[in-house]
Amino acid sequence: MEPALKLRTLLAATALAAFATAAQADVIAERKDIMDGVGNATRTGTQMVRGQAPFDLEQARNVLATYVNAAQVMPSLFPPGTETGGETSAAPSIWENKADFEQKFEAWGAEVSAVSGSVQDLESFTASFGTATGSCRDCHEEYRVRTN
Amino acid sequence: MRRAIVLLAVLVILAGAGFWALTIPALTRSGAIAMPAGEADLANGEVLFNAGGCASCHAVPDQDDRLNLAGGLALSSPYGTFHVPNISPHADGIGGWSLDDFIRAMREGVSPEGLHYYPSFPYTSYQRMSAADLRDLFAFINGLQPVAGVGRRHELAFPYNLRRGIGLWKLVYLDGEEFTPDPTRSESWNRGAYLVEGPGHCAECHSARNFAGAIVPEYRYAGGPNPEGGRGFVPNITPHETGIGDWVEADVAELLMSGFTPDFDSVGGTMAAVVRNTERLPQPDIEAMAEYVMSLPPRERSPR
Repeated sequence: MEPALKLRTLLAATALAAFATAAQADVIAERKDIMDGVGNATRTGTQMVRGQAPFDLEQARNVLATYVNAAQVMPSLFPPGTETGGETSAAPSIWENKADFEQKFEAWGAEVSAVSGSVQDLESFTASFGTATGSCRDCHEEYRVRTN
Repeated sequence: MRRAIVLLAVLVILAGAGFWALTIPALTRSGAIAMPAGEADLANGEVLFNAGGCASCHAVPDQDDRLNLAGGLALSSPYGTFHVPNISPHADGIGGWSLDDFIRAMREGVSPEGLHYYPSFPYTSYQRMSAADLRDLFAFINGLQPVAGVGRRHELAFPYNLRRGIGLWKLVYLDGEEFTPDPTRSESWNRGAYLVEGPGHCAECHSARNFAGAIVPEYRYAGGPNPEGGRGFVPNITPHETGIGDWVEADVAELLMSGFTPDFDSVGGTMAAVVRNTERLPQPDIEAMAEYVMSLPPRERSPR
C-alpha cells in the first residue's frame, strides 16, 4: 500500500470511528430525551388526575400519545455499542435480554393504545392513565440502573 | 532455628485459640431477652413486615405471591453469592422457632443452633426493633403459608466462607442497641426514625461501606456503590445538593407511595421492590419516614 493511501485509509477509519461515536452519543441522548418526555407527560397526567391541574382533553390525549410514541421508538435506540457512555442509565440486562426488553415496550404500546380511545373526560382518563403507568416500575426494576 | 519454629507454632496456636474464643456466638448473645407482655397484634406485624421489606429478599423469585417466603433469591456481593433462606413457617424455614429464637436472630444475628448469620441479613438495623414489634412480626409470619424447601448454601470466597469470623465482625460492628426515641423531637419524627433506622434498614443500601463491609458513619445515607455490584450507584438520600437537597417531605412520601421521583421518573432496580413494600404502609408512617429522611444531616455524596 502506498503511504498516501495508507494515510487516507487511516483518516477514513478515524472519521468513521468518530462518526460512530457521535452517532452512539446521539442515540443515548435521544432515548434520554424520550424518557424525559415520558416523565413530563406523567407529571401532566398525574396533576390532572389528582385535581392539581384542570382537566384538558387534548392534553390528556397527548399524554397517552407520548407513551405510544415512546413505546414505538425506544426499542430501536439500544444498538450494540451504546451500553455505556453519555451518562446512560440503561442496565446491561437490556442487551442480555433484548427480546424481552423489546417485547415489554411492544406490550406497553399496545396496552396504552387500547385504553387511549375511550378517553373522553377526567374519569375515563383516570382509568386509562392508571393502566398506562402501571408498568413503569416493573420495567425499570429490570432495565434501568441509577448511576448517580 | 528450632526455637523460632516452636515460637511460631505457639503463636499460631495462640492466634487460633484467640480467634476461636472471640468468635463464640455466645459472646454476642445477650442475657435473657425481656419478653413483651400481651397478645401479638397481627395488623402491626403486617406493617412491620412491609416496613422491613422481608418479601423483597425472602419471597420466592419470579412468581407473584409476595407472602411465599421460601427464599431462593441469589444476592451477589463482593464476597460471593448469598442464597436467601426459607423463612416461611415450615420446618425448612422458621417453623418451630420460639419467639426467643426469632428475637435473637433479628437482633443478634444468630440462628437457633447458635450459628452466626452473615450481615447480608440486615440485623445491624433490625436490632433497633422493639421486642413487642418483633413479637408481632413473628406472629404475622407464622400465620403465612408454610412452604417446604431448604435453600442452597452460600457460595463465598475465602476467608468470608468462615462463618465463625462473623463473630469478630459483630464484636466491632454490632452494638446491640434498641432504638431510643429523642424526646426533643416530635412523635412523628421518632416514628420515622424508628422505621427508617430499624425495620426499613434504608442505610444498608444508601451508604458506602468499608473494606469489612460495614457502613462508614460519615457516608451513612450519603449513597454508595450498589452492594450487589454492577455499575449502579445507590443515591445519596440526605438533603444535600448532591442528594435530595431540592426535595420536600411530600416528595419522599410520594416516592415511597408511588415510586415516582419529583421528575416523575419511576424508581428502578431494587428500589422498585422496596416501593412494592412501602406502598402498603399506612399514610402516617410514610409521612413520618419522609419527615425523618428530610431531617438527616446533609452529606456530600459518597465517593465512587
